[in-house]
Amino acid sequence: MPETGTESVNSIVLKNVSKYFPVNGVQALADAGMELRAGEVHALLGENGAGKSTLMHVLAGALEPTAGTILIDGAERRFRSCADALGAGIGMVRQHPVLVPGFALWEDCVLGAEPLRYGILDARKARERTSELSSRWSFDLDVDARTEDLAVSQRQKAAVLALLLRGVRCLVLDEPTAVLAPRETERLFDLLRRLRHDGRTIVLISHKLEETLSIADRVTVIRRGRTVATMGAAEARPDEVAALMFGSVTKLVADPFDSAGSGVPKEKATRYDADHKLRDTILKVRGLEVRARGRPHVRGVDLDVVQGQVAAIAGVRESGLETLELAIAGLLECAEGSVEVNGVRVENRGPRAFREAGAAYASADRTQIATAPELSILDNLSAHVVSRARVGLAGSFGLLDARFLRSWATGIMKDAEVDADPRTSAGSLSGGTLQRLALARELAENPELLVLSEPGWGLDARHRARMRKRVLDLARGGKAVLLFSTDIDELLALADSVAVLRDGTVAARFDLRGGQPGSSFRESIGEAMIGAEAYNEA
Amino acid sequence: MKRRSGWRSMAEALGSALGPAALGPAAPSLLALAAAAAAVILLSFASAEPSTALRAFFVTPWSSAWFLGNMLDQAALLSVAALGVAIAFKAGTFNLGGEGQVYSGGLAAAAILAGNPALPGPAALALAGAAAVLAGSAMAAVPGILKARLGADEMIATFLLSAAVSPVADFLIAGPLRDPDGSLLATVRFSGDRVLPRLMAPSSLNASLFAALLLAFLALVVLERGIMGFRLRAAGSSPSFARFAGIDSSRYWTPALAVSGGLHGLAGFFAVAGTYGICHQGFAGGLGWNAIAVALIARNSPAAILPAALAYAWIRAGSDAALMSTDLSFETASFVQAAVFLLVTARFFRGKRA
Amino acid sequence: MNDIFALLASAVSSTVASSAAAAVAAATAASVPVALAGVGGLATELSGSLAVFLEGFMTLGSFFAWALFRTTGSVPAAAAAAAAICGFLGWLLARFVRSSGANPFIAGLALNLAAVGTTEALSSAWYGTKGVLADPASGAIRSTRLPFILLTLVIVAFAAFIAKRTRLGLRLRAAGRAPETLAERGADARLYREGAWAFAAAVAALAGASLTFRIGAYAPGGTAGRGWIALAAVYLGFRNAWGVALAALVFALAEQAASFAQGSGGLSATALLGLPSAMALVLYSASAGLRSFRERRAEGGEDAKNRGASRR
Repeated sequence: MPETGTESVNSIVLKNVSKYFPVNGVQALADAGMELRAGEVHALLGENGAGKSTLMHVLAGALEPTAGTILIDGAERRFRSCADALGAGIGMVRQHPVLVPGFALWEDCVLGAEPLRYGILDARKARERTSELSSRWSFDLDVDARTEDLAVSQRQKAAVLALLLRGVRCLVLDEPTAVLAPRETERLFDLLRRLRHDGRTIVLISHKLEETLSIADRVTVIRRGRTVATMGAAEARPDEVAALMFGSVTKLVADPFDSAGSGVPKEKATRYDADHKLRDTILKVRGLEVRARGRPHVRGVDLDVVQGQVAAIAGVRESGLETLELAIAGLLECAEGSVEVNGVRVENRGPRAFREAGAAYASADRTQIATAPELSILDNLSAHVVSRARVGLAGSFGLLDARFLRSWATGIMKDAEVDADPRTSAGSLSGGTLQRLALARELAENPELLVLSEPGWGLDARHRARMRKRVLDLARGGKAVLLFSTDIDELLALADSVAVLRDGTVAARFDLRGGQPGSSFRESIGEAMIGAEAYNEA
Repeated sequence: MKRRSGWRSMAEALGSALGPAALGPAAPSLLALAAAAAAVILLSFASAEPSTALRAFFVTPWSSAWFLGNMLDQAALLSVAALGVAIAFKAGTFNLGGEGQVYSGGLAAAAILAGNPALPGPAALALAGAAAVLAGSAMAAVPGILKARLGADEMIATFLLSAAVSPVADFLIAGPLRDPDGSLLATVRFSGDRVLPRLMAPSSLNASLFAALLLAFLALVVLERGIMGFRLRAAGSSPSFARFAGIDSSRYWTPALAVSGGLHGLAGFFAVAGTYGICHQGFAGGLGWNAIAVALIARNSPAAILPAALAYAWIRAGSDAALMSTDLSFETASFVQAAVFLLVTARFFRGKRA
Repeated sequence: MNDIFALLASAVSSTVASSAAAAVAAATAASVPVALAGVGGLATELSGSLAVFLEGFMTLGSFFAWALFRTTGSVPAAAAAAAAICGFLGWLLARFVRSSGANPFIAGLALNLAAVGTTEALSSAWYGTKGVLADPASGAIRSTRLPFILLTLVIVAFAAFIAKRTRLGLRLRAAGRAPETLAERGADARLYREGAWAFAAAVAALAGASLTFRIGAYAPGGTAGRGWIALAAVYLGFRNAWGVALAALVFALAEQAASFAQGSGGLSATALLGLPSAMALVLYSASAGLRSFRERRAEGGEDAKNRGASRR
């Protein structure tokens, strides 16, 4: 391993990088820096909003810094676009890689670096090269597959392949394991080790401490836009690093719901009374089958969610989680089966019937389902109660009581700790803020069943802890919660029972109230998410 | 939920509807004005007397009852049609066939007003107005149905239908409906009691001004403070959000387009029964396209449409006056129009708008 | 006896064939403007930013071709120069839209308006009239029908080839479907959109030039909405250059049928001016309906509502 030293050959250095966004007045980076060497896996850690992605976007040429320098092998460079960065051998794979729809895999991979023959695209050579690289790195991809048909892990591989085709020396991966099951994560790490052995530089952006420390050589921690530390991974202690990430040791210890690194949930949602009163089953799903075009299908799903319980559905994204949650909430039509809320059949009756039966749905899709960015905050928050705002003589003409709507919206905003003028458009708010608002809006109606989807996405540690506490309080207060999540930490922290969805059916069920230690649940759930057969591969 | 007296809540609803919304959107109208002034300045440098052109542009439209009245009348027509454009936009649709809808509305009205001698004046006018609204509605509703059932793009469909019907209207005016005694390609001139009352003789300003004011007010109240308006706006925003809120977007396209077309038809009625007193070939003269410009300037907000229409009418009147007063031999209006379109849609200032 | 029948049959069929052939030939010539403009429109649609200015540039091209012919006396030079000027203007418009964040549809509409004003203004200034501009030496022009048909075929084939088989086509399609991905791979989608707009403007100008040279004069309003029909052809052609050309041919055949009906049925020529638009509307709706019918069948009986929900 090369010694630490000043800028030298075969290194990539970011120095004193600042980035200010005038549009929303956010100083995303202030004097951040990083030094990368050939043949290393370098982890970039930090909490949500710390600036990790921003710094890497600067490195990859997607953003231009307000100040600071980039040195490639000692020479200063300016990246005005991704093309410049790619020219210097730096490429990035996003968290949710977007491939060009309607293209074949090979077309997408060679895009931007197409082989030519007499000035025309050499399709044969393109396919050959893609295919060859794919087998060299054991990607196992069919180069003629349509991009729409690929699973998430395959899309990730395709994006990496596209970069490898151009011979990049430095790959930046943004939260790659967020969408992968544990086994796929291992495979990814194998690949990273091979790339490292090949002399390339890997930057791994992550918030998952333990797993990242297991593969990284060095770690850089960013907090509030500044680099606070760089150290070798071997001598980094998880609690120390966490303290650097979040800013204080006490904060970490005081959060009983953050099971990161421990694997053992500290508290459970339900306290079952000694006399074990009979509790109502609020949600009953029987034999649900959903066939929707362009989505993973779901078959034969049975679920029960009882008052005072947090039931979770786990799985990798493509196994049908979204399909199931949309079908239960009334946004997708079911081909077979039934959904009963409080004894009322709601399947195929639409989202309003779902709500009227006493349920609420907080979607993870903030900017499409949960809110409409072009409408005002007030309009967004009023969505469910407009009919209630028709009162009196004016109401019979269809006029709404503006004061009622305003106070309703203000109440929700206070609950979500959002301070803004309700008349501004919702599009001016960040994703995390919208998430909090949407959740608060659903809770404002006091539903008996709350369907939550990926509630922790985009929330920083403080709001995530608060959200988790809220969910557990709701359950303790007698509500039924159905949680859809791909995040095992979240599942272990919140759920009483987990049903794992794989390839559209329930593959396994776990009762987390038992005495088993949390870490073995983690493995079992992960196993079930991708299928025991895959796990048993050599 | 507290119950409050019906009248109080209604008064409140109306009061808050006219609140801050009206001031904010005035800025784009000022921009449009500035753009037009710039255009005129540029063009007037091509002539020998720029100062005359400028004075003509800014002052002449206000200088006499004739100029002022005509300008206000144009603003009234533009407002009504622009409301139609805005309502379609709010529901997430694009009505590009306004020109033909205005034309067929006016023609339908003229057919009633030119015939049926037994009908008394006010009744004939009412009937003609209804016919105009129906004609315009139908022309926009059909593309709406095509969109909802077949997924056809309404922008193209409304345009094509309008382009298909306009020549038929031309034919009807020059043929079966033509005034046999007159020398114009037009219907008979409507009799005195079949014309909307004039307000500022000798200009063509007439009662349609009041109608425009009333309609703008109604649109504002219904869209911003009414439950149907809310649902319409939700349908026009993200379709997934609308669905989540229990609103089926596709159910609102056809009604919104029908209202949009109806308003355009009504504008046609106001033009033939108010402004002109006769239906001549091509009377619409770009009203549909100008209405799109006005709706853009007003950013589709009903409160801002009246000021925007006034600004736009001023631009047109000013351009015409400037043209007449200098030695320019060609029409500047379409350049100015195009310049306004471009400058208004460009985002030189970034503002948050609901 | 059989011989007489055979003779009659062959006479009838050859008459039908020859008039059918004549009709098809006439329709092919008539489809040139829509086909050319349609291919341009297709390029912009593929690039992700549909251009609605085809009508305007057709008008401008028609006028410029006339003016340039007056100056140069050469049909190819005039057509090429008109295309070049309009191509440049189309590129300028695209740059403006990009820098100012303007709405591309509105900008296109603005150009359509400006085109009318510009041609009127220049026509008055240069030739003293806003009306039809005819040239006494129009004989030379009539023989340009075939060259324009050939030019159209070449351009359509060229466009089809580029879209499918070249790097440019690949990146153009990527610009329309996933511009951020294209940016990540090191190419700027906006360049391709601007290029597509320039191409569309140039080709629409050629379409306008073909109109001028077909009748041997410049007629204001001679484009008669063909720019908009070209847009309908883009949709009807299933995003494929040959499909667009075929759609243009279908429209032209419809026009032929209409004038035949007018000749025998006595319907006014004025009223029938609207027929191409009506045809376009019917065909467009039919194709949209066909597409949604096919999609619904592929879904295997699921509700169409399922298509409306979003993806994460």
